[in-house]
Amino acid sequence: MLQLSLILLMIGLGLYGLATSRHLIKSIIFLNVLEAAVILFFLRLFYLPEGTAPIITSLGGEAVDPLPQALMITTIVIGASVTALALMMSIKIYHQYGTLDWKILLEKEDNQ
Amino acid sequence: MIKKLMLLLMFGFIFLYALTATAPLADSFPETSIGETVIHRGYDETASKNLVAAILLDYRLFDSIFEAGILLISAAGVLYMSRSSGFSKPFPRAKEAAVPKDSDSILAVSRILYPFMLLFGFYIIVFGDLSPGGGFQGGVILATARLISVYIPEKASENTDPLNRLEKILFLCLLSLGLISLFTRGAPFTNFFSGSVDPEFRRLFLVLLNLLIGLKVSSGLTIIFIRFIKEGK
Amino acid sequence: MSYYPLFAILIPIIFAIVIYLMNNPKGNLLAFIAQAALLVAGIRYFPFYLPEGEYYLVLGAFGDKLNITLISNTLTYGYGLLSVVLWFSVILYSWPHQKQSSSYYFFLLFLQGVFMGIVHTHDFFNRFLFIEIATILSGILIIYKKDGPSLRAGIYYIVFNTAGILLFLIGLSMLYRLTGTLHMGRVQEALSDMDQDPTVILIFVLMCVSMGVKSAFFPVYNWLPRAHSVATSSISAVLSGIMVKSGVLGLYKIQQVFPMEAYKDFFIFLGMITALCGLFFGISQTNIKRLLAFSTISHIGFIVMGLSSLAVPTSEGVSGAMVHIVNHGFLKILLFLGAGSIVRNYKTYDLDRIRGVLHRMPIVGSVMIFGILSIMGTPMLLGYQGKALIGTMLRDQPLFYFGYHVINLGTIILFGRLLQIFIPRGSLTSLAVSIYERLALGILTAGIVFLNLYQLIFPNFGGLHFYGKPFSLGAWSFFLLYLVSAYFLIRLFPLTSSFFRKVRGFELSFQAANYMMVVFIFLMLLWSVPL
Repeated sequence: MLQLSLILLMIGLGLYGLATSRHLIKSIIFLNVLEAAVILFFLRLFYLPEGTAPIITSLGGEAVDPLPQALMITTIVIGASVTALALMMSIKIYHQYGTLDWKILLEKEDNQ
Repeated sequence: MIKKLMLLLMFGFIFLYALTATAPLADSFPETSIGETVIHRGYDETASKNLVAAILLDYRLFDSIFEAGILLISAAGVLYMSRSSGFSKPFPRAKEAAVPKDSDSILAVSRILYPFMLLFGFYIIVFGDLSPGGGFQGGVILATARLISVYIPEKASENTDPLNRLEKILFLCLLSLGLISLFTRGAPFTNFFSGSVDPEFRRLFLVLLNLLIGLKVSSGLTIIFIRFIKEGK
Repeated sequence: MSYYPLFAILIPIIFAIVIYLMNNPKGNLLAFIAQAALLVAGIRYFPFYLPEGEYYLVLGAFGDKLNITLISNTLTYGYGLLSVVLWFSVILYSWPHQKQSSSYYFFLLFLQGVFMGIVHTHDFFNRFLFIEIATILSGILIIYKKDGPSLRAGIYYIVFNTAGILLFLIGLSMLYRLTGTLHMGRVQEALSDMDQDPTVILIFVLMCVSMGVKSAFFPVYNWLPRAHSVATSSISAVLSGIMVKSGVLGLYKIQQVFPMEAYKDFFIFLGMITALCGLFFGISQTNIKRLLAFSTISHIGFIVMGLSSLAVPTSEGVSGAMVHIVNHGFLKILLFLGAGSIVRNYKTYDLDRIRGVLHRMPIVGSVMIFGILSIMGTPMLLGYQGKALIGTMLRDQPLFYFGYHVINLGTIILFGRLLQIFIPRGSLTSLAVSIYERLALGILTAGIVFLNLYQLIFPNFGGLHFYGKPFSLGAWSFFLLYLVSAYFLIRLFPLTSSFFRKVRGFELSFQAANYMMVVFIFLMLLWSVPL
């Protein structure tokens, strides 16, 4: 229960950061926090206190469910791809406008 | 301030709701689940001792192929954006900070580590169906090895075009490898050997897939790394 | 077993990669060959899909319990064929400007394959994966112009939509923990006896919010006008006409799996507010592409209203929504492509400075007028059927029925504002439109006329029945009433007032958009709490 509520707090932290931080890089970092929290949440739901890794040779006790682990690899790859793209975009935005502040970026849009 | 307070209040409500909603999940597992069936039948059906690899490389191979596809798109996107033409650059650099020269110890350690990292990456890839690991994890290790080789002057090459081509070709190979079973077994995206063949032979498919995925992932990530390093210069 | 879904997904993707590998202008011609190949595959399976029925394609040798399943029926088959028409005309339209760049066709064709994946998949995680690929591809296509505004819109889009789609993953994890499967049909069976469980409600809410982010529902709509107004016109057309629907189709699937009767009114309400919000902001715009983008939001609202009836199976609303998805897609692509030609020739986005389009560009102008009349909801034209069916669904609820008429009136005012570009004023010398653009617009118009006649003559397709009584006196009298009142409203409230100027400049910041996402989750959860 404690672990679960900590993970839920971490999800909340990611969303809170996205909803409050004004810096673009911080937004990307909080997106990664959110994603890590989601991965943790998924794996925590299938945690077995005495579970073993789902590999045939080591199957002693009860093996944990292998499906979440397989799905989470996919999610990690997605997260890496999105982060790479977003960071490259922010480099280009910085080159263009000299700032990474969402608010200043928005004001510039109004002037154009 | 009121806005943040409201946000926190809403979070409190959502948190309590989520906690009560997830509490009943803690003790009762469903009667049958995909994972449980895989634990019981996985080795016989896929010849993979690592059951995570069994799901990635056989049961949900379609997902894994498109997972590799995401990286392919991302690499193509990073490459497209970082090409020098196009964007104008009124603000080329934050501050002209002096870039420190790479120290000799980094160079020496990189030289020693580089071959071992390559070896370790290939080990993780090839033994992905027997032990923890697999194409994605090994591919990332290979890409990290390539990243460390940036510190080695005689190794550093910044031309990403051959890698880019290689990545796309490997993706096509991956797709066609997945489709072979359509002709041999009448079902797409599974092992091309039928279930009656000896598991030691059926492993061949898994190793091939892991190798292709590993090389593809490592070339994709390497493209992204090299492009970022180039942007910094 | 039918392999059509596999063909529809893999043909464009393979051609996309081959085009990228060849990387020369001649290789780009393969984009047309890919569409031809898709058409051939479609025709090959025509007799197969003629009788109605659901076909499952299991991707693997171990049955649908363990493997990923694709579903196909007459409706998805129709989407496959229509996507060929749409993508063909978009590729043709952009040919003179983009024929040098292989990466453009790579991303565009890959997007087509991924969209076919979203249409056909019957597996929760696979759907998540495809939607995420579509998000990344759309993000890259938005910044394809490589200029400042498109970069800002692109990063806003990609970060916000990824955050939204992660909510889907949270729901998915609990769903798998609860039912032990990811196959949509099996999940539906397993959930049939646990209706009002808080866990099920939480899963439903998270999934609906993430789909809402993806298709721009009311509190989380702001990325759409931003992204769709700065991208290249052909890209805006694809995103606004088709890719927005990937979220709506996801919502349709989710509502099929979770029969939540409690949320029926919520979705009608949500759709209505989304539509009104889109119209309110759209009417005050002076940028032609932003106006079209906001009109997309209002039509999404319409479709959501129609889909809400899924919880209580009355087929009118669902039929109306599914028909309107296709009809709006065609019309919006036509309008965006036409607007692209206009913007390129007049070198301005400003509605008040574009004049005499019909005289200076007769073909584009007449096609645009046809498109505008259709999307306004003129009876007997294409945009009418879906709207009329959704109206029939709402007839029993006076409040919602009133709102429905207000939305119809608003749509007419919005597109009435667009009609001012045809006033002949200023220079009337004719402007050049390339043969490719004219051909693309012609093909689209032919497609629209075909769909229009089909829907008038055979008002059913793939299990849907859509007869909106387009010849009835009531339909025409309502339409005339709308026209007259729209005319007086435009006269009464000129858009030059400072109020409208303020509305025009209203933008949600990135933080506010995420804030609104939390508010959305909160409101949906609050709805489930019994009074």
